[in-house]
Amino acid sequence: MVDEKVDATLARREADRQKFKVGLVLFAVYIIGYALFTLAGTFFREILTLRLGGLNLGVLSGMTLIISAIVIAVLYNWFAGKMEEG
Amino acid sequence: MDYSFQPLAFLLFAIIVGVTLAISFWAARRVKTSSHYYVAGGGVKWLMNGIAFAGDYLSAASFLGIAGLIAFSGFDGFMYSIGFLAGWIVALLLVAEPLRKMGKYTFGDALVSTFKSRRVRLAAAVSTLVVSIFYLIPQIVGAGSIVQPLLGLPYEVGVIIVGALVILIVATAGMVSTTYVQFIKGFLLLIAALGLTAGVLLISGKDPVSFITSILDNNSVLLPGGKTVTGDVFLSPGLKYKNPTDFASLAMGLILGTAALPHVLIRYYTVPTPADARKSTVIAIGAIGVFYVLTLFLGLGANYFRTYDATNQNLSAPLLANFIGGELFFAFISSIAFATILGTVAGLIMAAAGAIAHDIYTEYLGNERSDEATLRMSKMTAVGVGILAIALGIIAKGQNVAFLVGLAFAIAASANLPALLCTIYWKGAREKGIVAGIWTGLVSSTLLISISPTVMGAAAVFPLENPGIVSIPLSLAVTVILSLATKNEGPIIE
Repeated sequence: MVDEKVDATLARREADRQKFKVGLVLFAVYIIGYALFTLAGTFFREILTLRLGGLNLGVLSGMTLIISAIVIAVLYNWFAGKMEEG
Repeated sequence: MDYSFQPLAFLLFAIIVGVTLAISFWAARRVKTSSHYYVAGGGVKWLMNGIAFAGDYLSAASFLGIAGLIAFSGFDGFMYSIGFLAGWIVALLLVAEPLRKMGKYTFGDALVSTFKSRRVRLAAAVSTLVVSIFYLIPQIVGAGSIVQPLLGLPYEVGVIIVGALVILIVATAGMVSTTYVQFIKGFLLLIAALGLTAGVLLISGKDPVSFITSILDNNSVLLPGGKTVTGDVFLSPGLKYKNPTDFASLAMGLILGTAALPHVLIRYYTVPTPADARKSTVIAIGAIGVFYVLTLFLGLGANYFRTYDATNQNLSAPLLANFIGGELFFAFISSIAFATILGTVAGLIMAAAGAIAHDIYTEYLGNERSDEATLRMSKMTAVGVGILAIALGIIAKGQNVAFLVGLAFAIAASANLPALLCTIYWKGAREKGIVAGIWTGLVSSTLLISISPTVMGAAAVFPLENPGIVSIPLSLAVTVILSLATKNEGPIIE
């Protein structure tokens, strides 16, 4: 009984560790994208005026940041759910 | 603009207010303890909490303010949509689950669960109050702005009406009624944004991409002030934030502010488990993300069809609705905007009341009383904060609401986020570092705002409109340096 409890605690800690690791990677990816966007808007504004598929890079990168936030959230939740089940 | 009384608008407004109040009085029967009042007993389902998060977060700033900023300033307005959502990634990946494991009702509770310190409690409570009040002002300004065309009443009367209604909602049933109001309002807001976007695209006869392309290709986009610019200039950074550092400062404040907003943090205590906290954040990100994509079409649509009031940016979305669907649609959108404000203000007053009644009165001053007396005290505090919000809203008449919220984000990111992240993730964090970091962030950000162009105009001492780029790193540095300097004192101080 005690062993089962210890095992469950260890498994939960391992799941938390894995979740944190994956969360950190996703966070880093998003922050890098956001930082690049901010740098472009601050120091290289002409880059954001470049046209791509009917839109400019400013609107396109802004939309990408919004949509990628949703994708990252769904991905992280899926992974965390899997870790908690396993 | 003609803002005469419109009976249909009044009828819809009355229905929304009536439903909101009915929910509050019904929910009041379920509020028996402080836990029910502050965090709805911690029993809210994650799906409902997620939409309530969206309802809480998508404030007057998001609906009225961003649409207005995009209509008036193009891309610089859209920057708010991007930054407001980006902050949720910080909340999801770094804050949601650990925070749910700490604390009880407030941001102060979370910090005190590690640092058993009255000084930490006091600093967190004052910070919560300042951020909540800064956030409250634009909501109340939005309410005053919307009531004028909706009911034909003066701005000040609108402010008093929304203030009184919110006081009633919060004082009767606290977080229980606030959650229901925010849940319903979150749904309504998404429907409103979808309806407006569909209207913009249908009337313009363009698909989403070609609509934006048509604006980019336009050589003379008319700005509400009468000036014209090319579409390229309109949809690139620089129309509002001419100083590039201002753009960077805003971007920093927005992404780091969300996870430090007290009224967002307290919603993590309303769900049963850390997993529920995570799932509700994911729902919130989905709903809020979709909404912010749509705000681009609301703002651009208002500019495209010139449905704006050059003297009031905040009316761009309601006036666009009037253009698309006449009085009925205008009344529907304005009533939803009003419900939006009610929901957000209710959440903010909850956060502020928690800081005063729970953190300062009960915990810091040591007034251990019966749960019934604490509950009474909390409700009285909510009434007091509501009255203060009314007074400040009248003073701040005429400001763009999204811009004002941007300042609240900068204060939250400066005062709360370094303390919160260091408490969660850094074993080397010490009580003195946390306390000094909060005060440094709070004082530096508010001081810089008071000497910025926002307050002083051309005579400004500090050149940036948003203080985040200075105050956030400063607060973090103070937290780290003082923690290192006092590392021998041990992590927990009684």
